Amino acid sequence: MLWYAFIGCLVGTLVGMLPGIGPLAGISILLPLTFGLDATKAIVMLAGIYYGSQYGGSTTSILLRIPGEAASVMTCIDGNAMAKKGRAGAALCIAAVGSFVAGTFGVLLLTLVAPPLADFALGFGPPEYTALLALGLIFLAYMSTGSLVRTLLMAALGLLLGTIGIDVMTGHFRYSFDIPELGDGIGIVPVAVGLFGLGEILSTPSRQVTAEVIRPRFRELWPSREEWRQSALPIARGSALGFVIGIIPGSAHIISSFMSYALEKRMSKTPEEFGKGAVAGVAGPESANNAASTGSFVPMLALGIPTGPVTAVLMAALLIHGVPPGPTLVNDHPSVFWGFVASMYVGNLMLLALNLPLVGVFVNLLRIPYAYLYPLIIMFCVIGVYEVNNSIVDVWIMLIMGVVGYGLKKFGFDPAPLVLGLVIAPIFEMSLRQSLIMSDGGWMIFLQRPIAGVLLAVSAGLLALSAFAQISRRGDWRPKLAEAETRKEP
Amino acid sequence: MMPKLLTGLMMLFAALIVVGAAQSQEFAAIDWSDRGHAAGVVLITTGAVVAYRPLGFLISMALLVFALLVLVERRNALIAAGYSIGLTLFAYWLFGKALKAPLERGLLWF
Repeated sequence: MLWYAFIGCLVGTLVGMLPGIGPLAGISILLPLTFGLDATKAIVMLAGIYYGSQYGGSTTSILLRIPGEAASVMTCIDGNAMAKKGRAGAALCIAAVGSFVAGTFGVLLLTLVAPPLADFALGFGPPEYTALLALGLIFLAYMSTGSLVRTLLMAALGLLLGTIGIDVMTGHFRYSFDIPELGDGIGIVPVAVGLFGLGEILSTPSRQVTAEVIRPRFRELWPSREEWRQSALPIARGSALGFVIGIIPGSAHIISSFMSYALEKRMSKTPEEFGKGAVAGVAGPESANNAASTGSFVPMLALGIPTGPVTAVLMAALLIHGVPPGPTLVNDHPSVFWGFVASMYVGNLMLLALNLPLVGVFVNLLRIPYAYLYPLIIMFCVIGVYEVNNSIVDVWIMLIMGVVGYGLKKFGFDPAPLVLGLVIAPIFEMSLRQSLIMSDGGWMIFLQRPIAGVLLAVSAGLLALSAFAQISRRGDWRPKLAEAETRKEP
Repeated sequence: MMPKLLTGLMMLFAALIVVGAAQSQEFAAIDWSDRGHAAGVVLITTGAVVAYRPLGFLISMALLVFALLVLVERRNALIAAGYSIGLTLFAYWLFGKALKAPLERGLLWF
């Protein structure tokens, strides 16, 4: 188990560091390789990639001013400024320690929050589950940086793609166009790898990924006493803020780092230092994004709700291994749940040990020209996708989705909700149809059941809030977040 | 029922996007400077996928990497050849031998 946690953390650090490949593509590519493992080892390794990437992303942000991962955008600002002042080692150390504290804090809360939440959700029936999934998608749309309508359109498209294949209730083939391989539906791996792996490569010419690498010396890794003092409270605040935001569906790790940066700047006695190498500008966001990545596991494990594309793919991994995530996970598969939680405690320690002493090795990896890196990534994409079903149709799907992902990015559509929709489509359709069977076709069942009614009321409230923000064009924080995300492009 | 429901919702969302078209970026303002790179990668990868089963993993992937480096990235052909062969052999060892992933043999016997 520890060995797989180590592999996940190491691969996660690498994918977090290297521009052009993110944790989603890394998890999707490595998912087929876990088919020979049991569910616990598989999820430990894949989750290690996710939270490991949060650590790795900070290295590239600080040394190159290029965020290796989207959540490290805010670290670019003050982290690189610290590096230019000769404090690269201190910035890396503070980022690593902050990530460790936040990650451990997050795992502790996960241990305390997830089991009672799962017990509460055991009382959910199909109508409650349908309403919860609908709320999850609408919340995701509300929290996204782009247009709510575009996000919902992508989610609906993902749900529609999820209907391809054999209808589990009637046994009829739907939209398979007489292609036998489509009888099982469109797999999550080809779609995720295509959209996020290949799609990213298509829109990133190598000339856009060149930058000077600042090389820290090992003896300069330890921050001064004053730097430790300045980072203590931001780490604590970032941890708490990040975990809470992580539970909410949406780009939690990005939002959490943005909000932490804004919070630290507001609370600082020297806000003019932000942007010029403020320690709090590194400590807060890095802690927040790690805590958020841990918090995002709470709905995934306890409720079976993915909070983003990464947890959606992790959910798909659990389903492939015959372990349905959700309220029954804690009781029916305790070894998976507690093994996963235990591995995260150890994983955070491993990452702390990996990221600091090996920073010199990682710096050399960053010197590899992107032109030589992305053909390797494409090869890994082909290998990983082909391995799922030994089917060349999956590779064609990956290629098509890569082109689709490129187009979506150009026209301002976020592909993440598409992946979410695809993952939850079978569960959503099953819950919906079971609810309608219970009510003899009546849709009022969703309002007659109190929990379902409340969840749908919250969904309606979010839609109304978004519509009001659109009309008034004030108090809409999403364009600012979109601006922060686009600043990631060098 | 589900496909009809989703199609109806998608039509509604599409109509709302059309109504709010003024808020979208103009088509002419979209940066297409990477289209050459994207087209090259897609065409070469398509060729590699077509050749994957007939030629096998080693030959098709080596040609994929070589073509990307020489035709898209305009790198030195000799260096590209060495890199593509070495990388493909490493990937063959890692995935085919160490991780036991299924890799197409194609024309070769291994």
